[in-house]
Parts: sequence; C-alpha cells; structure tokens
Amino acid sequence: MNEKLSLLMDSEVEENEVSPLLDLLKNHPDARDQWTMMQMIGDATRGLVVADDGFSNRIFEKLKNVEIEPSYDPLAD
Amino acid sequence: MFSSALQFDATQLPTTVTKKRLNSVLMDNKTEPAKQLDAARKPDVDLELVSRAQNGDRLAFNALVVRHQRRLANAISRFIRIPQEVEDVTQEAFIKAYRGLKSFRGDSSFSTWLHRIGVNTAKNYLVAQKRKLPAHRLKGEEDDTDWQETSLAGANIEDPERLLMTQQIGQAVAAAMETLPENERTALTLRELDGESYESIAEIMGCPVGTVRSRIFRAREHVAKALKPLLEPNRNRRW
Repeated sequence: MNEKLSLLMDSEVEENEVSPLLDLLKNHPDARDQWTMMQMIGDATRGLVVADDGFSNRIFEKLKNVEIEPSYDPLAD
Repeated sequence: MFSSALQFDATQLPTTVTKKRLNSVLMDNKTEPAKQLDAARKPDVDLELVSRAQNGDRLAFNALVVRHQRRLANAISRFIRIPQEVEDVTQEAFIKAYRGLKSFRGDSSFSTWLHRIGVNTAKNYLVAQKRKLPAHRLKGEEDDTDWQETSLAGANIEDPERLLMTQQIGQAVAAAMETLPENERTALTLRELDGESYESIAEIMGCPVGTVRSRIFRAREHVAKALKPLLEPNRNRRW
C-alpha cells in the first residue's frame, strides 16, 4: 500500500489505479497517515517549515462549517 | 512540430480531465518538451482529488490541504510576517478555495489556482489592516508563478515550542537523508527538489523506471522511520 501511495503522491500511477488508491485514502486512516507523512517528508526536503502542530486539523475544523457555493469565484473575491 | 503532434493527440484523448491536463501542459511554455510528454501521460492526482471534492468528498479536499498547506503558507508569508496571521490567512485561502471549488475548471493547475487565491487573500488582508505590501512585493514580483520557497533559516517562527519542533523535524530529515545510500538520496532529491518525473530520473541515473520507483519509495520509508518517533505523541491528530 505504502509504495502505491508514494507513486500516487508523485502522479506516477496509471489512470486505472487512481480511483482505487483514492478510495483507499478515503477509507483507511493508516493510508491517510502515510499520505501526511510523505507530504511532510517532501516539504521538509524542499526546506519548507514543517511542524507537526495540528495546523491542517485546524483548517479541517473550519472547513466542516463551509459548503461549496456553485456561483462563488474566489479569484473575483 | 512537437506541439502540433500533441495537439492532434489531444482530440483523440478519452476523458475531459486528460484533455484539460494536456492542454494545461501545452499552455505552459516554460515546461520542457520531455516533461510535457511525461506530464501528459500521467494522471494528475490533484485534478482527481478536486473532482472528488467537487462531488462532496470532504476527505479528498483534506488530502489537498495536507498536500499544499506548507507551500501556500510559505507563499503567504512573503506578504505577511506574523506567523499567527499567516496561519489565519492560509486558513481563509483554503476556505475560499473550498467555497469556490466549482469555479475551478482545470484551466491551470490546482496549485497555481490555489496560489492565486492565497496571494489575493493576503493582499486583501493587508488592505483591510491598512498595511502596505512589503517593499519587494511592490516591484511586480508577486506574479502567479512565484512559488519560490524560502528556507527554514529565513522563516519567522515566534513560538519557541514550534521552533523546536520544526528544528527537530528538519534535523531528523537531514540526518536520515545523510544515511541513505547515494542512489536513493539522489533519486529522492531529483524528485522532491527538482520536481523531475520518474522517467527523467531514470534517464539521468541510467536505470529503469522501476528502479527509480523502488529507490524513491525506500528513501521515503527510511526518512519516515526517522520521523515517526517525533510524530507519535500527536497521533490523535489523524484526519
């Protein structure tokens, strides 16, 4: 699983492999942990500030109360 | 000739997403021909995640947040220097992106679209606060392709605990990279730092693409093993 997620992260999978892998990400917390870890490694390698301080979880919390608005264009806001 | 061959192929491609990806690649005249071909052949995971999120899959959008949060925050930090404000504006940019997800049609990459939202949000924030753009931002440097990343050394981190955590993670990654076999370190560096495709890396390193896959995966597993002890205390932050 981890090797496939590594390939997915780099968009190096075949077209027909994408959907099952995104299902895996959706349904398995371990896969999401792995996704998080690999993004963190990539960002740290690129020299970005990486802290495991719950930043993304605070964004998720805010997003829980937000809906997609069909006529809203964020670039015109 | 190269471009016209690709344009001809574009009319034969089966999915809208693939056509958009190929058109996006063709419109990006900074992309080298070899990379254009590589990118055209491969599915774009961001577009696939956006497509799912547009259809109500919130976890798909969360996966995009995890993927882009630091680069977005980094871009915003070039306009706004106070860390808490950078976090607030980054959150606002993601919220705007989610609200307006239907307006994203794949004409540019998701990364570029999100970056534009982030820059606009940062500028609006400064206007609302009646503050000026940083001097270097007044010279037209804030264009949409400005994704240049700043180093940890240049980061403005006020919270001592966060600074320590950031340093520990940075040091653990650097130490793990040092102990990697040379060919694994090279493959991972070419991928993460230079953004090379696996095919390009295979060409550069003179090995099959399958070997590149294994090297990059093994390198990530090695670094992940070094990072896990630092992250274990925060396992309750699963999403």
